[in-house]
Amino acid sequence: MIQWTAFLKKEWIEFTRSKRVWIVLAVCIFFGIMNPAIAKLTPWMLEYFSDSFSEMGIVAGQVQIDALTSWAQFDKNYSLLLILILLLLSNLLTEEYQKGTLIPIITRGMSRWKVLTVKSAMAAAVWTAGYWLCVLITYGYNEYFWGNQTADHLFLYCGCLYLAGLWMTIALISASAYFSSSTGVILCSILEFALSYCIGMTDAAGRYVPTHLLNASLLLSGNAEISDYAASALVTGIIAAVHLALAVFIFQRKNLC
Amino acid sequence: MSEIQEFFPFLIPLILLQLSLFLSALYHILTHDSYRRGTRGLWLIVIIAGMEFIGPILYFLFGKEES
Repeated sequence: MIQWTAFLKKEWIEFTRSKRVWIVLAVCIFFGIMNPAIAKLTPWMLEYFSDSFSEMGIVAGQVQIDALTSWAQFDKNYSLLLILILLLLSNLLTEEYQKGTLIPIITRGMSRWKVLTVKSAMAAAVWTAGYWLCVLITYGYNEYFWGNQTADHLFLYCGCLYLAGLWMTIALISASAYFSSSTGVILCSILEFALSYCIGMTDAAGRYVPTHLLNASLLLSGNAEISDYAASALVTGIIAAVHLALAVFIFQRKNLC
Repeated sequence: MSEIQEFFPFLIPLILLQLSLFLSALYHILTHDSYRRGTRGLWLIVIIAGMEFIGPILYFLFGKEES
């Protein structure tokens, strides 16, 4: 346990000194502010473009802006936030392979599974902190301007998206246990996402794949039940656990040179 | 004026964030001589032209040398 916490501390110091922590913070705060800001700008933009709209024969009526508009914007920006954080995390392990910095630690008796679990914990912590910071900022602005009462099951909705992101983060780390370059890691993660997306298009398995969680915005408008996402959340948890076990197994046999 | 005032809660934190990112990138560029890719002139142009978040982030991801 001492080794584990010491390695975690080393990871954290590396994360702050490489300034990555500031990039994550900046990106998350930026997205958190932009979601309600774009919702607030929508009527103004429609007014601005209404002249060119009317030339095309489109009549822009009065638009109703509330917290749901802002959460819809959050839903759209979510994928970009996830991609940015995953890109930042993609060289968490591969950088160590390329520089050979893991070899002295492992040859002095640190178990390999500890290295991998610390890296996974670090990646999961970055995603958790970044995502919930973004949610909190958007929530705060929405509460201030419109009130969040119009959005049903808000916490569950955010939880669903969080879980989907966590699955991608763990998938990224287990890909890092196998591939030595960050390009391979990113491609493998994209492939896994695409596979889940394709399986999700079939009627039979559509409700059980992790990407089904990304449709959770239906919860906000009350067009879906919580039970619709329970199976998918369970499958996502199982897949993440299997990924982690598989990653430890692969990493034990990985050539670090 | 009142319309702009409505956007103050958004604008003030965004501007503060942008400025702090920009200044930290600028400080880092001016106090270091070598970069992973590119030159000092190139990175100065990038962070000034792309001051709205993207420039400093690009610099920290691709230009900043590992210490």
